[in-house]
Amino acid sequence: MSGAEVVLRADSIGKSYASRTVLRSAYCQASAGEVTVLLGRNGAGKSTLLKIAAGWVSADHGFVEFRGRRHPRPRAALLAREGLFFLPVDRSPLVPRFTLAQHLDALEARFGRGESAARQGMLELLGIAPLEHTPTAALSGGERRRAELALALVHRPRCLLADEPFRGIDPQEAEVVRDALVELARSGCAVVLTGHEMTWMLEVGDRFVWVRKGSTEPLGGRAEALSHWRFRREYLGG
Amino acid sequence: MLAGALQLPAPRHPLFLSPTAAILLVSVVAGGCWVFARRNHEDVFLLALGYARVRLLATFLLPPLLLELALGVLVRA
Repeated sequence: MSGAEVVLRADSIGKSYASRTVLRSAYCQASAGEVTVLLGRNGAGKSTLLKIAAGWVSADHGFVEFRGRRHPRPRAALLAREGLFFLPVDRSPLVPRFTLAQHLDALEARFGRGESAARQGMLELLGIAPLEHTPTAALSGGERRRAELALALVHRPRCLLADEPFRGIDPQEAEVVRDALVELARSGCAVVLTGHEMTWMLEVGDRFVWVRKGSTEPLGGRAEALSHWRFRREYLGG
Repeated sequence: MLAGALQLPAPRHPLFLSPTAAILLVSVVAGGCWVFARRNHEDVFLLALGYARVRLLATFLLPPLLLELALGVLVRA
């Protein structure tokens, strides 16, 4: 394990929906400056684990620790105020009638304003500078994903949880998203991702966790994950 | 018929709505859905900004409550 500061820890997490148990005893941690990737088959509980860690869904048991403070019943708004940013896959944080600039202004008003040159540079890095004053309802799927990442980059959170950030975007857009995530991690943010796009996941991830049958298994770094025979056989299928 | 002999009005279906009432009902439901959808879109962004659901609910409830309070004070004065 590296000596980086552990920013987020979700421990002993269990969750059932009606008669279906999604998570039995899951563990996940995110360290400053690192990208942690949750891998697992569909329905394994990756998104549920992220939602619980973000305070969006309450766990049946377990707790979340964020920046050294334990939250037995984490609340989304409180965690957000303390520096956690969650990008869910099924609900966009973009308000359709607002422009990207209005979103960024609101974030800066709430969490502090950075240099305007840095904001412009970030928009150019993401390739959405010309769309700054377009209502977000008019953006394409890939542009929306990049705009959502722009919110995270302007916010500069202590921890970013992104559920399937590479889903439904073309390879060039995926490169931009990868660069943005790496840039965010380099700035000291603890990043946790989920997804099935193994090429991108392996490029961007520092630590890999396998979510399987309601539990989690740390796989270690890139090389260890790829050499884990059971993970290869059951998830990668090779 | 007994109803005719007693000059009672013809019975209506219990779920009968006059056209005006129907239009009003549809408008209220549509308006409610529109407000809900609009708030639903904003909800995620407001959460990202750190505003709790309780506070969001308060934005709905506080203005009419304060108005009621103000009217109550004015009427008593």
